[in-house]
Amino acid sequence: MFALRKIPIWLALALLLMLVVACAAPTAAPTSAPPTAAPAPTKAPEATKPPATTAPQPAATKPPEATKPPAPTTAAKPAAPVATAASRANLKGELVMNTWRDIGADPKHPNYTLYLLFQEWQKNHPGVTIKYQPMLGTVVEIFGYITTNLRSKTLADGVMQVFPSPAQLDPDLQYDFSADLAKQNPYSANKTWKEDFPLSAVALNDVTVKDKVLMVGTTYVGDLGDTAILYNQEWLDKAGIKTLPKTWAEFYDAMAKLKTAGAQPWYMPMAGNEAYIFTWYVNILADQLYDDAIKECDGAAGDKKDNRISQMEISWCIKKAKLSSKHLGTTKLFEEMKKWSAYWHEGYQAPPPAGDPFIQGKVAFRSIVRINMPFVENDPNVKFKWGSFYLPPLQGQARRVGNAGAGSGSQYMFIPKTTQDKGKLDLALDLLQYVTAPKSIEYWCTLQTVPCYQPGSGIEKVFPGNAVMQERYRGFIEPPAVDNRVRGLDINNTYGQASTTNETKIFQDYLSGAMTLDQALTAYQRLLDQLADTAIRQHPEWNADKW
Amino acid sequence: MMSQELTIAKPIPRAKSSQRVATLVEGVRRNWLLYVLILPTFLFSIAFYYYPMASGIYHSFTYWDIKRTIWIGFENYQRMFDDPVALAAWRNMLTILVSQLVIVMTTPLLGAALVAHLRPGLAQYGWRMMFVMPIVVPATVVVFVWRWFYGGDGGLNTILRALGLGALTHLWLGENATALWAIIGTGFPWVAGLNFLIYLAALQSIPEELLDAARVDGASAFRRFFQIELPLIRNQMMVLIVLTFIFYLRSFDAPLIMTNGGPGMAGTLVPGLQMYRAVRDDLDLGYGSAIGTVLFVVTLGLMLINQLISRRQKSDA
Amino acid sequence: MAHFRRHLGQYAIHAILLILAIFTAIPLITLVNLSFKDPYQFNVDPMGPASPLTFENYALAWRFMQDPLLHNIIVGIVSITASIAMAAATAFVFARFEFPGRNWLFGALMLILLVPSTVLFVPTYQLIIQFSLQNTLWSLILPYAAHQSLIIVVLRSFFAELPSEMFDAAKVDGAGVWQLFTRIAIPLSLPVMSAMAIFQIWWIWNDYAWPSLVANAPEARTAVAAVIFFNDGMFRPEPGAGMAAAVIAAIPMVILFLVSMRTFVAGITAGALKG
Repeated sequence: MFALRKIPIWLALALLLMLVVACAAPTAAPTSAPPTAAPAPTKAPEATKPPATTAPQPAATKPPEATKPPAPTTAAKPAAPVATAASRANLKGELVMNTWRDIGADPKHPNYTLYLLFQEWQKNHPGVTIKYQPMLGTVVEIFGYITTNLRSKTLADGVMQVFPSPAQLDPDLQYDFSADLAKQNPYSANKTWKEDFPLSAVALNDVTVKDKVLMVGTTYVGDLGDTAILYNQEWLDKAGIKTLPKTWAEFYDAMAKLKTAGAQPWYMPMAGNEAYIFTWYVNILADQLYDDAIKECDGAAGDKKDNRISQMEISWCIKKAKLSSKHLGTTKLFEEMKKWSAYWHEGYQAPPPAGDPFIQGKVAFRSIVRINMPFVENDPNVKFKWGSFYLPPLQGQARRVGNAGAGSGSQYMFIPKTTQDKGKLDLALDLLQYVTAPKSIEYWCTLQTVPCYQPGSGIEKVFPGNAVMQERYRGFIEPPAVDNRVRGLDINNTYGQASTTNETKIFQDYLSGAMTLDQALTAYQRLLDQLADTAIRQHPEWNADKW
Repeated sequence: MMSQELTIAKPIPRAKSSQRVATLVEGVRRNWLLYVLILPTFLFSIAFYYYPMASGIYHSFTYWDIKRTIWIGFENYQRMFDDPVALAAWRNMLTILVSQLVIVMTTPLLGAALVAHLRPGLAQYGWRMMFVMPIVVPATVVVFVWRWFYGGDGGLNTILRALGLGALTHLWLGENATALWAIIGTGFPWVAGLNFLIYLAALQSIPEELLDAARVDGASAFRRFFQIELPLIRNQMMVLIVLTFIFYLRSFDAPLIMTNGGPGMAGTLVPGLQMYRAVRDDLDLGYGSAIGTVLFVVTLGLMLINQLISRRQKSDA
Repeated sequence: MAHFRRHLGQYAIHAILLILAIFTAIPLITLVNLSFKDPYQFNVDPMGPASPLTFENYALAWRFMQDPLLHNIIVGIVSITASIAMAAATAFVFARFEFPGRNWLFGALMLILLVPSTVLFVPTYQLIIQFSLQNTLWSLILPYAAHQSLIIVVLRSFFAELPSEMFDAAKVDGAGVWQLFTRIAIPLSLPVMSAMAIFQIWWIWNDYAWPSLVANAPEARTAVAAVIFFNDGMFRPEPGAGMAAAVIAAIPMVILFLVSMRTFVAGITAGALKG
């Protein structure tokens, strides 16, 4: 019997060996194996294109930019700077780029300029083809895609995204640009590549980890915000609101009047693909409520004091109970949200309704991200007058979310280290240097809906004599946003978008009455502890036990 | 198990100790082709069943995010049992399980019994098709349609308003009181599909003579159904109950697509979804493995109980 | 009188079935109806008939769905061919031959039937990531091809019940194991195999959680995952087009059902009962 048992174990070991061999084979050529695993990238994602663009637009509200023909080849538009670098003349091969949604789909979208630049670069490098792999999905899903594929080593050769998340930065897996930044960019006359980045390379601050620069971005010259609040003028008129709210009290007053007038005052989806809107307002309010804690935690544990809270700083902050459920700001944050929620749209906890309630004229105020403005601007069914403003401060100073003042509306790009292993680093780096060269940024600026401008100029100087555009973009430009962004003592900014889902759910339970304030605060503390502990576990180099 | 043996190699005689190894080697050598034929199955089984199973159980004791594996003992389990959300998730699952068991024993059986009692012919075939056909619609699509159905301006509220029952409208998936029941209600009236098919096949295989005999005795249709037909399809019903149990123990597609576990932290959360979210959102594979392992133990326990019961029933018979 | 009562009973059954059928059909009819509406019809009268019909929805949805459908077909064909070929060989060996370790090995295979897929979910995901298979069709094909124990059970009992005489005659002609397998076992078991193939493809077509985790990229997304993605993952969901995508995702199964009704029903029943 003994021998009978022993044989299958030997057999099993042999099988295991073969298994290893069998599994090693597909890793050698993971992308080439299934014949149809690589569909043409331009085909499927075209669905992102709003079909409404075929319908005629009402002439009265048409912004001047929209009259331009969308085709990139027309003579009316400036030509993209020629992309040839003497130092790297003979680039060859295929460069696969992950992009934030399909950047080539909609000529009216701000990201389309980047697509034009990519195309121009490819044209000037006959040996190179760019293959686009759009990343689709909700914001959480896209960040999830980047993180897991970075670890799985299945990202494309270069990755373009609309804004970076501190949680995704990983010096072990991402290429460090710092050496290249100290050298000259072949597409530029500046002494170093770093000098090419406008506003003293403010765009690079967020993506630098321990002196390693893990991403580069095309900086938008200006202090344009990422988000603002759209208002429906018809509802304001009906509710008898003469001026847009400037203070929190006025804001509440306006929402009360709108509700009486029959509008749903504020669109605040807490589920579905725009759930990030809620988290952004948590960011904005938290920044005002935690002012003292932010001052204490910024620069803690040996990190730089830079008005930005890093993941290490917030973890320190939680461990030292500077940020906790006991902080008065936390209580205020929950209570304020509850008061506010009385004015939110019907069913803010349910999956979002079909279509956009602002465009349908149901809600009076709607938060919007600037890169999504074309969807409202180009919708033929928006017949009412509308514009934008920014959320008044609850207390202190209202700061902006996103990358305001740090290359807002720009795109960030990084190179996974796997690209280096594939021998395509030169290719990817050349593209990134071309895109971030001064001439390219100039070109970029001329094609944006909001032209580049001197930070702090004010809306009248950005759109002189164009009342429609002034109204539409006022909320993104006023109040000025230079160095005026949320400092990030919150889950969303430090632990990443995915962790925010759990935060939102605690708020949901509190707002719906399923939890008392005490229960919600307990759950919140549990979440904070969990996130800090996990982060500390992921970063032994922080030496958290010595804090 | 080995009733029909067609042996190319002769069965190996039970040899005494020293000869045994030699006979075995000889047996393996002579039957090498057989081993080659079953080899692929075993390779795949090891790679996608045995290894993951062992790995899952091992890693449930670690912090694991692909980049690093840190042994943390029972911390994941402790976290799971301390977390009120996890308890709520198990409670939700229990609610779903019990409801689905009630469902599987009622409406599909009703539908099948009605169709089975039609006179054979085109009408019966037509009804059968009518209730079998929806099986082809992917469950995900069904869930998706129902999500819209439950929306604020969705089908259910529209129907209610049209019927003058506007007061009964809800944001079905956005309210704590209704979300879980809305998910259970998906697919109402739950007649069509696999369960119906199996009940119908069972009912139609009952010999007509049995029922005729009862009819002669003057038993009413209801008595015939409960006293003759129902006991005869008990086995199929047991199978369906077990299948339902196992399916809903691990299924989380509906909460995932409809509500992502909401509203709130645990509105419609089930352990499977908690595991999925730990993996997809947080890349916390260790915690996900711990939840998976607990689910595994529970499923295995239920399966063993089921085996014991069916074995006892067999020995009784 | 008795005659009339029996008729009455039949009418009552028809009436109840009609009510059940209406309730069953409402969501599906609604789905098809909504798939022809433009976003504005959605808000005016969600349940009313679509007018005018917006065929653009289908054009839009088709552009998004064509690759996922192709992926489903490739994944289905490759993984099912592989799993059935492997399972048939294994089932044949276990059904008709005696060899050292037979019971031991068969027991090991049957153990798999007891393992719920939940415990495998996370480690298999890790395996996929470790071997850089994420977002390739391999991440679907390989695990699906491993899903064999059910087919083995069904085919094994089928092979075991074949009369020995058939094989004896062939052996007299000098056929070896391989010939017995390819010339006798496979041709005889084709109906059973196709039933199992249909069960597998139905199961693969329905699977959502796994593909949405490992294949959430345009290169490998499957049909049902694409439907949900199309509706939730875009900035501006086009509700009508989303519904059209759902219809498109269901159509191949409907066609398969219509062309192979008997096998389809047999396969799904067998798969469900044995599983």
